[in-house]
Amino acid sequence: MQEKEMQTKPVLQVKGLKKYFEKKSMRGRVISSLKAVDDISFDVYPGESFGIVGESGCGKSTTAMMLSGLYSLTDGTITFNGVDISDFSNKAVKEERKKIQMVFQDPAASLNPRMKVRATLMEPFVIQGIKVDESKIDELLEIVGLSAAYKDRYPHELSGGQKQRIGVARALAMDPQVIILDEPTSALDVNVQAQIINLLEQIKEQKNLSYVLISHDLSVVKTVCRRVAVMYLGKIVEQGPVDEIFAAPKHPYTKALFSNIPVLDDEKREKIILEGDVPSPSKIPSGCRFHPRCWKAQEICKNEQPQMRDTGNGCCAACHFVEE
Amino acid sequence: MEQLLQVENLKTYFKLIDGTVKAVDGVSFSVNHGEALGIAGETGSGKSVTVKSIMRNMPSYAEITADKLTLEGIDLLKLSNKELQDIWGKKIAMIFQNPTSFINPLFTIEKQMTDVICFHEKIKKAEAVKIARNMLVLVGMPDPDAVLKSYPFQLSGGMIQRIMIALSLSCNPSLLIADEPTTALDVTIQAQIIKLLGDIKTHTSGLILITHNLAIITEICDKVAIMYAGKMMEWGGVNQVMKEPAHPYTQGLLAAIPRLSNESKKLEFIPGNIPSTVDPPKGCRFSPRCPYAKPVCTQEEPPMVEIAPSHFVACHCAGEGGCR
Repeated sequence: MQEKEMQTKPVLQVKGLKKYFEKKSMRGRVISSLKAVDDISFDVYPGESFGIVGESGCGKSTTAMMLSGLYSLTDGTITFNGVDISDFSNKAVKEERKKIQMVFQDPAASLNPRMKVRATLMEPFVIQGIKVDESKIDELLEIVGLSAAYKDRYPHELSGGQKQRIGVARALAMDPQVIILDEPTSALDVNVQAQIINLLEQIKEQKNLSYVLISHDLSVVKTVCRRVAVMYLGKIVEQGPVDEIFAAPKHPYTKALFSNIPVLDDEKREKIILEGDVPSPSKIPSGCRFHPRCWKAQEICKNEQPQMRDTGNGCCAACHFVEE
Repeated sequence: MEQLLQVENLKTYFKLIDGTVKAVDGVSFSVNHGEALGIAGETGSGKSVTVKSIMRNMPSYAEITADKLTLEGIDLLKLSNKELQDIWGKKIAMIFQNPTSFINPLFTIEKQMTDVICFHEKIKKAEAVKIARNMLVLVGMPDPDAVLKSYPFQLSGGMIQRIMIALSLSCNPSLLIADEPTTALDVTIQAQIIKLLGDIKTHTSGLILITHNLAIITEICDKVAIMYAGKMMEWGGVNQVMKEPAHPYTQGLLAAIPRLSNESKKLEFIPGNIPSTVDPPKGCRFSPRCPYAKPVCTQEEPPMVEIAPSHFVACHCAGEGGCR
C-alpha cells in the first residue's frame, strides 16, 4: 500500500520555472531581457516518460538545461523527491543532483574527441570521488549493448549510433532516477533512431527510470512518452496524456504543429500551414503569444493572456477559444 | 514522356591509400520532364555523392564514370570546367542541407542573388534586381525589398532556405536538386518549404530530392529510388514502392519510422550498420543484414528486375512474390 502511494508521488516537480537572459548596462540596469522560459509547471512521475515538444527557440532546451543544473533559475522551484534542488550553492543539493543526468543532442559534440571511451565513462566517478574498477565500465557498456572491447576506442572510431550509446552509458553511470534526453535522436538516421529508442525503452523498464524527452520530432515523442507538454515561446500551451493530445489537440498551435508532421500515405490528413516564423523571445507579442500566427485570433487574444484551462481527460490548454 | 536526365551505370570511386571507396557503384535512373524523383537511404549510402557526380561538383581525385550521363542531350561527362560553370546554376541548380553555411555572411542577399543572375543571363544589374525580387515573391517571402537589403544573419533559417530556393530558381534551371532541404528546419517551417517545393515543381522541368525522411518523399515526389551502400536497391512510382515495398531494405526503412498510429512502444529496425564501400560484402550488399538472405544472396549480385510496370528491384527473391 505504502509503495503504491510512493508511485503516485511525482519524482520531479517543476513550479513556475522562469529563465530570463538579461543584458545589463555597466551600472547593472537591465537593458533588455530575453524570456526564454516564462512560468512553466509540470510533474514527472516515477517510471514515466514526459515529453516536451516545440519549435526552435521555444525554450525546451533551456528547460532541459535548468533541470539538469547547467543553467541557474531566474525564478520558480524544482523539487526532486521532495527536496528543493533549485539552489545550487547548497551542498546537500549536489548529492541529489547526481540522480538527474542528461543525454545531449549531438553525440559527436558531447564526447571529448581526445578521451577514450573508458576515460569518458570513468569521468563521472572521478568527479564524484567514487573509486570503481574496470568491471563497472564493462557493465555500463553491456547495458547499452556494446562489447567491452569498445572502451579502448576514441569517439572518431565509433558510428553515430554507437556514440549516442556511449552518451547514454555515461548518463547511467551515477545510477540516476531521472534522465533528461535533449533531442537524443535528431542527429541520427531513421534506422539508428529506432535502435536507440528501443534501447532507451528497455533501460527504462530495467531500472525504473523517468525520462524527460525534449524533441521536435512528434512521432518520436508519441512512441516514447506517456504525457507531453507543447511549448511555444517559453510557455506551455497544452499539456496532457500523449494519446489524448495526439487524438484531439485543443490548442490551435498544437493542431497546426501536429498536422505538419510529414507522414506516410496511410495516415494523411489535412495540413494547417502557419504563416511566418516564431517571433523572437526578446520581442514577445502581447496577450496570447501565438496570436500573430493564429488563424482563430480575435481582439481578446491581442490583449489578454489566456490561462491554462482544463479540457478534460487530464489535458489542459491555454487558449481563449479552447471550448470551440 | 521525354527524358530530361539519363543516368546509366554511374560510378564514382575515390582512390585512397587504403583502397578504393566505391561511393557510387553502378547506379542507373532517369528523370522525365516535369517529374520529381526522391532518393532515400541511410547515411553513407551514396545519395549525395550521386547527385554531386551528376553535377560533376566533386574533388579532382574522384573518378566519375558512366555509360551515359546526359541532361537534355548534353553529355555532362565531356564538359570542361569552364563549360561546367555555365551549367551550374543555369541548367542544374542545387539547394543544400544547411542553408546558412552555403550563403556568404559578408554580402547582402541582393548582391548574392544578382551576381548569379548577371553571370548567367548577361543582363544589367537593375534588371537582375527585378528578377531577384520576383523570385523572392515567388517563394512567398514577405517584404522582399527589405530582405534584398539584409545580410544573412538578420534572417531566420527558414527564410534563408527560401532565399536559396529563390536563388536556384532565378535562372530557370532545367533540373533542381535539393539535398536534404528541410533537415535543418523546424516542423512548421519544414511544412512551408515542402509546400513551396511542391508548388515550384511546375517552374522547373525536373526535381531530385534527397532525404532520409520517406514521408517527405511521399508528399512531393512522383518516383522514388532507394539506395544502399552505393547501389540502387529499388526504384519506381512513389505509391507503388511505399505501399508494396519489394526489397527487404525498403521494408526495413519503412518499419523503422515511428508512426503516429502506432500503439506499441517498440520500433522495428534493421540490425547492424551500413557496410564499408571499400570492401563491400560479396553478392547482394544487403545480405549480411537481410532477414531473408539465402545462400545465393551471398554469392551472386542480384540484377535489377522489373517486377511490375516501371517498378524495379534488385533482389534475388523479388521475382518469386517477394520476401515476406
